[in-house]
Amino acid sequence: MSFLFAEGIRRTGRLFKHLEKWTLVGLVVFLAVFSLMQIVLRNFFSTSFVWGDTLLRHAVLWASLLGAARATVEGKHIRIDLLPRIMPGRTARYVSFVTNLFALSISILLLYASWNFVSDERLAGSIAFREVPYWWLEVVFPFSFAMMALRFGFKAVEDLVRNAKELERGLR
Amino acid sequence: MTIFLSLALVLLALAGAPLFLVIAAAALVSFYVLGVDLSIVIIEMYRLAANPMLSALLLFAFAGYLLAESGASKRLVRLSTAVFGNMPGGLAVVSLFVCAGFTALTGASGITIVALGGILLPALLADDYSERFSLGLLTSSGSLGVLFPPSLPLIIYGLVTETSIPDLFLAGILPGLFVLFLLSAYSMYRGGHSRRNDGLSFRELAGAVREAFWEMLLPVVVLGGIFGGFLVLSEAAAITVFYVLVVEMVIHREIGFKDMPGIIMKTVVMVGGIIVILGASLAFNSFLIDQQVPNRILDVMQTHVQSKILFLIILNVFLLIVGCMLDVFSALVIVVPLIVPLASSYGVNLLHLGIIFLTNLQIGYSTPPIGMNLFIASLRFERSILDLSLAALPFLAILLLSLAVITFFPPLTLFLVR
Repeated sequence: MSFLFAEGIRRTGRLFKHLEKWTLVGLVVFLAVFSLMQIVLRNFFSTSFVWGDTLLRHAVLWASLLGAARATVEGKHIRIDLLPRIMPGRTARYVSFVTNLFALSISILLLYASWNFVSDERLAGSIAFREVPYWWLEVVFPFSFAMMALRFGFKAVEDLVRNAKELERGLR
Repeated sequence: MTIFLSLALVLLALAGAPLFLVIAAAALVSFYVLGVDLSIVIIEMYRLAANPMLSALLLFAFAGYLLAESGASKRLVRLSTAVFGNMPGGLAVVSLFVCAGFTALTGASGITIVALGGILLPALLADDYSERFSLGLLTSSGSLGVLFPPSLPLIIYGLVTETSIPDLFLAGILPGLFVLFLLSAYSMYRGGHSRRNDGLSFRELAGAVREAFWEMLLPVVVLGGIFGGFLVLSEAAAITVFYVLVVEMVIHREIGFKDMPGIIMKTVVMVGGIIVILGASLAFNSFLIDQQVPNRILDVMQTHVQSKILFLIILNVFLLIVGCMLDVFSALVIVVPLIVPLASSYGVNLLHLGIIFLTNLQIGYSTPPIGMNLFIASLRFERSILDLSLAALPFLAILLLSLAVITFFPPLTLFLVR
């Protein structure tokens, strides 16, 4: 039963990573193509989509925040990590557990803050362009921070499991 | 209490917690203590989305990763060898120029050492340069191009200080060339023994030019578009991406559609990492400004430091320390907003300040104990950090000398801008 549960989580995780990757690829391709289109329209046809710039700027925001959520799972956030380099493996993993726990709690706080932010914006109901209200463009904040929280949580658990396994091996 | 919390955050940062979360934590706690609703942190981060320069950052980074993935580095090496290869110390000069060019194009993110180290180190050793000289040269060259457009740190400095990015591009050119010139002179002095003496081969030169022709045109496309007044920065970035795609996918056929997802993922992961730091610092800095921290630092400084020269000396020492603690992007977004009011009160031009900043941070890349170049080079060349630090020392000395000139001779920076 617990095995099935774990397998389920793993599958969902893989599927999500796939989806995430293609969303990001789509966003960047869109960014490049749409920017180019705006230049062509502006210079050769003296026109452009009025809402184009707002859309582009938010596409960059989406790509960046989703990219940052992805950086979490790939362990590619910018960090100093002086201490783990000079510590032995097991101690380093305990330290890593603490930093992941810290990262988890701050991500949850950011999730809470962005949830409030988006709710306020939703109540305000201002429109970005056409029928699209601003808060639709801003949901990427709570979403990305939720993903980060999940991933830092998983990492913290991983650290513990690894150390527990090592201890077990040591006792036997 | 404040001291305890700050200490805890510093410790967490040193223990390897992602920097953006450390900064975000500082912002969240500060606003919580002030009794402000925490959503202010997100509102400040969201200010990022109002900045049209952000897409330039992402697109230039994308173009950089495309170039890094293609064979552009090999063509650059061949071209520079054809031009400089027969001078005394020629190959060392080649390495310097290629590293600088490549770093500028790919935006100082450590790719240079990874992409070029493997080609250049064996070549230098085969040409009778000592191992120590070669390692030092390559380690300190890994961040050499940050002063040349369209380097990402220049764009970020412009973003944070709201100075004109095209002006910054212009301001960086002469100081960048000056640094290259000093390093080349040293390399020619040290490498005088190794002279290949095949004579300048025009056939090889022509071949190299033909091969690298489209990449040679790239600076013309980028800079011509911006300074010719045809394109704003974000448009120039979009054109650059398009141009690089055509060159590497259609002309050289070195990058296929199947490589795209990988390259795009590398780009967004890096840019995302930078931008969340930028966002978190915006939030924290708005707290600092609200609490008038920059003003208080200003008061303290003005009572103790009267002359501009002394201020610049203190600034440089401070930045060198920052540069070896933090990577260039975090250092920029955290420290710049605090320094800008100070610098203006001492009459330091913002463009000049930017170039001083980046020269310092570039040096910090190769400074022990936490210079990023040292780590990357240590992984790439499989040497200990200590060995590499020692090897990089003479180059660091030259970089410091050029820093002094750049700092105390502002016309070098400002000449092209006016």
